[in-house]
Amino acid sequence: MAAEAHQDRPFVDLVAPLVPAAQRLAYGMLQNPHEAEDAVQEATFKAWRGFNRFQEGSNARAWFLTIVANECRQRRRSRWWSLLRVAEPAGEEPAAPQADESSMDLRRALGRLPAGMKLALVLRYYLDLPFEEVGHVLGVGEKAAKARVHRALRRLRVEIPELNPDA
Amino acid sequence: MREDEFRDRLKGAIGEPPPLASPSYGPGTTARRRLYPAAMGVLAVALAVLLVLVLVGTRLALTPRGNVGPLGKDGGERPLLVAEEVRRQHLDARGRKLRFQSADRRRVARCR
Repeated sequence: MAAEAHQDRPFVDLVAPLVPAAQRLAYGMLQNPHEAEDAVQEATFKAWRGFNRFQEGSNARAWFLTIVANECRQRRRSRWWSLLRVAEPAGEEPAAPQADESSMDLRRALGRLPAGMKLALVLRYYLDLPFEEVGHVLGVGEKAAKARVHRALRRLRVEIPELNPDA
Repeated sequence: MREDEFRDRLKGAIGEPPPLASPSYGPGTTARRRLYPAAMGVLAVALAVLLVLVLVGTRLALTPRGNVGPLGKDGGERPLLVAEEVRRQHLDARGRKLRFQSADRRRVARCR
């Protein structure tokens, strides 16, 4: 057990500082704290399993966030057949998001976006990643990442006209 | 709306994530959790195989095999003989019909 823990040391050292970003990404994508927690846990396990494939010197944050993003995408896909979630106990709800109508509209519109577009927006505007890193996580180049973010914004503007630059 | 404004608005709409539990770094609970669906999968396959076996088994058990016709005094031979007899009579009838037809033709030719 101690030997195993010793072997896992480099993995823990690499991943532990990235967990807050991963949790933020999962929460941004799933908008549910419990699902986000599960997604990060599952992604951490997958990262641990594939750690031998990680190339030293490459971008660890992009590598780990890619695994988390894939996990979130998978969870969003499998949601429709999964069990009905019961209402959460009142005390546990973070109640952090703004409850005004325009914020709710934005959240709803965000939820209706295709996973790839939503991921691009969350990475760029919720995690404040540079386009280069957004591209890494999306598996595309910097220019393609920029294009995807702009496409996602354009789509959001159709649903919420107030987001237009002239508005 | 400018990019910075949109950023603020998006952050406001999604909200800050609540403090989430730190994941365990290794197989630990996740492996156990993953074992559960795997066990359910094995159980489902076993039940499916069992169901197929039961269905095929009952089908085979209830399907009549061999002769089901009335048995003669000498066991199962009689129905085969009956079938053979019918076939022979049928052939005889056809032969007779052909014979009558050729006789008729001869008779007509003679009349001419």
